[in-house]
Amino acid sequence: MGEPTDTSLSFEALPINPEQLRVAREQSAREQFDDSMFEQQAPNPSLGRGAVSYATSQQPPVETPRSYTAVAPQKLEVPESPTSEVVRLGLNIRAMRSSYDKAA
Amino acid sequence: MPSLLSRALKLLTGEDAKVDVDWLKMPKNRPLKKYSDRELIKLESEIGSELFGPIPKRHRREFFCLDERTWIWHEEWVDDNHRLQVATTRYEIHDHGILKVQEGARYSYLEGEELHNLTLAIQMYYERVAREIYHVDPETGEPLSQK
Repeated sequence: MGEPTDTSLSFEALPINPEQLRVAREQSAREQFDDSMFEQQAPNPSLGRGAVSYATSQQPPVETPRSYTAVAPQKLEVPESPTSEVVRLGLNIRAMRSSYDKAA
Repeated sequence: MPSLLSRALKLLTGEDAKVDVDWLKMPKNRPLKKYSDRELIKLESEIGSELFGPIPKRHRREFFCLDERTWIWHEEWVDDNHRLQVATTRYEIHDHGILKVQEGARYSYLEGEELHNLTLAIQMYYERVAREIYHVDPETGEPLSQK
């Protein structure tokens, strides 16, 4: 993670390993999971977070909570054809941008 | 009790009758602020700049997807002589490889570790912007809140 000393920036100087990617995905998925679970478990906003945890301790949920691992992609390795995969991701990003207005 | 807005309008119009100010109110279900493509790219770039760890002091880094075939890595920093240094690298996705384009007409196709790292960085970028900006599942494209 060295500072660039000239204009020869390259990704060799800033390596990313698959473990870093896995941790980032799990953390992101976990945060999403926590948020969604809190929303599901809060029947009355005025009760607040403490009351929600009390209620859930008295009445365990019938459904098994969705595990965050279920939304964490398992594919960590570089694909066989990086070029087509990068184009695919780029197209997805552009699609998300163009649909953002409608979703907001 | 009349609202401040009602009283203000009454003062302006001089009418005692009930003043209808509903049309002035912002609808509660109004959409969130809409962003232009440029603003969205800026938001994405904030995530992109974090993919490589902490940004060194006096550095500014941007890494973003310009379009499906172009990625930009821009870095600025102040050197020991207090001069601003700028480096911009453009990655062009061609069918037969990823071309790195830098200042000074330097071109090279990525290979080996560099290609591997860029691909992983792009995957991380996609994962994070999908979840954190667009709130969709990066695998399915479905909104995360509906899962």
